Amino acid sequence: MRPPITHINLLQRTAAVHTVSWALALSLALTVIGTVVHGSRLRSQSNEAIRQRDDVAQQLKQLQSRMAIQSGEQAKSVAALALRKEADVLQPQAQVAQALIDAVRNAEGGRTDEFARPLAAMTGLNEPGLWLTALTVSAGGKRLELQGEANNGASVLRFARRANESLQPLTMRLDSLELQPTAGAAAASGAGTGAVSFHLH
Amino acid sequence: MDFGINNNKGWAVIDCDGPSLCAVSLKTGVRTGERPQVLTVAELAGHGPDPDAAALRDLMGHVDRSLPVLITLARTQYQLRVMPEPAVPQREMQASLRWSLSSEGDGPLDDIDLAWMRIPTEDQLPSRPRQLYAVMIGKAWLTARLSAWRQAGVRPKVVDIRETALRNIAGAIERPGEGLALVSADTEGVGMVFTHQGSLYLDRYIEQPLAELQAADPATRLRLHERIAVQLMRSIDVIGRNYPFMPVTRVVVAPALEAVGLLEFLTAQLPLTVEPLDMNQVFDLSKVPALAESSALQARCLVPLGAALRSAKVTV
Repeated sequence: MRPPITHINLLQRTAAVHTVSWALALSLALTVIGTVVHGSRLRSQSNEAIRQRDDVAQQLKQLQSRMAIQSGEQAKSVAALALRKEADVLQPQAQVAQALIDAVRNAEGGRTDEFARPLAAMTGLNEPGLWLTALTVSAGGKRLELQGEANNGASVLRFARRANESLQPLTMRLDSLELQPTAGAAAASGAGTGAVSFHLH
Repeated sequence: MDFGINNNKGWAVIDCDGPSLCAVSLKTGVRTGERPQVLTVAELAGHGPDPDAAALRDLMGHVDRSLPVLITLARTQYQLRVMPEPAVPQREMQASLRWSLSSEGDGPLDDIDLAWMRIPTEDQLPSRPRQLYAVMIGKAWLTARLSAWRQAGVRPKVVDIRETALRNIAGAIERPGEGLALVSADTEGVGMVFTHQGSLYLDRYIEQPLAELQAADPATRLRLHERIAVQLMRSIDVIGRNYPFMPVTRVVVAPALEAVGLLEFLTAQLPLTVEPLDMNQVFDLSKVPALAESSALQARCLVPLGAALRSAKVTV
């Protein structure tokens, strides 16, 4: 068997350079292809991101719309709360009125005139956070007792001062004030709520 | 060495030696048992070893352009020498050869390109120091020629030398175990290559202008023929002493450009078998009848055809 024959090529160095050139060209081509493929993927991902952005924007619009609706509902709720507060504020007056009605109903002999003047004086009073639970006129309209509850003692003091100012033309005066923490306030005294029941006479 | 060239189709070969340009196309991709087929042959007279671009373009018009191009150089364009093979790995061979050549006084070798091929003796003479052929070519010259060739549309894949081209033909007609001498004459001299198992072991070139032989009287011609014969016998003696495993018992004489009687002289005078080279024995010339019929054209195309055998598996 013949040994392998060696051939001469004086272009071997140039051929090597060409090999390097081809390798570089191939590398460049692969880089370009990779860039194109990567660019295509990026473009695809970009399109997907744009689509997601548009979806999110659409969802955001829908949410904003729903939030606007809910805001309207919340506004209505706020209005309801305001009404509720207003009702709460009016409740003591209503209680006063109810107490007056009860007092009138319990009045003896129909001597309404004896009660009319102190009652008229009291109906003009309104102290927020204070409501009356009992109003008693006795001694022919000369003695007045008030019982009620307040959010704090200061309200009671203000009410008592204004009541005396209103009763002054009738030569009546509330001289005694008894204050007691309400049962709930006593239980939560550590929290410092300040609610009191009072008795003025 | 032949790196990166793996061609099994054939070659388009351009040879720029001598007063004419020659181009051949050879199909080597043939079925087992068939000979490489010569597809085209062209010769352009009146051009030297550095032809102009127009001549090269003209020549390229006569070859199969689908084949890779190989160019064979003139002997004056490169140097070939035998030198000891450095005991280094193959990857360091180039540097080692350059160092060896520079230390021998050949001066700086940065301006040359170098190729090499072993003279295989390791199997037959394992204790003998190994030798190799080194081929040197001027880098600047080759670069300039490459540029000129490329401007003419010639982009060679291989640049080869004449000795290996002739070796390929000798290797194709070798018989098993023999050493073969192939003698060929061109316009400037007579070349001899001695091969065994397809490898080149010795080469000789006797400068003997063909014109001088043609113009010589019978006595002078006899003296010139004797000079060639003596050189041939000395070379055979060198082979016998240095490579005893390859006895040269047969001399094959290639076709000549002109009939100067060398074949007849050697046949009559040498104590060896001397035979003419039958190109039909190596090549299928059926597509180029002009080549088949012309010994002169065969002589001119001998080197390019031999170079084109570099990728062929020829068994005769």
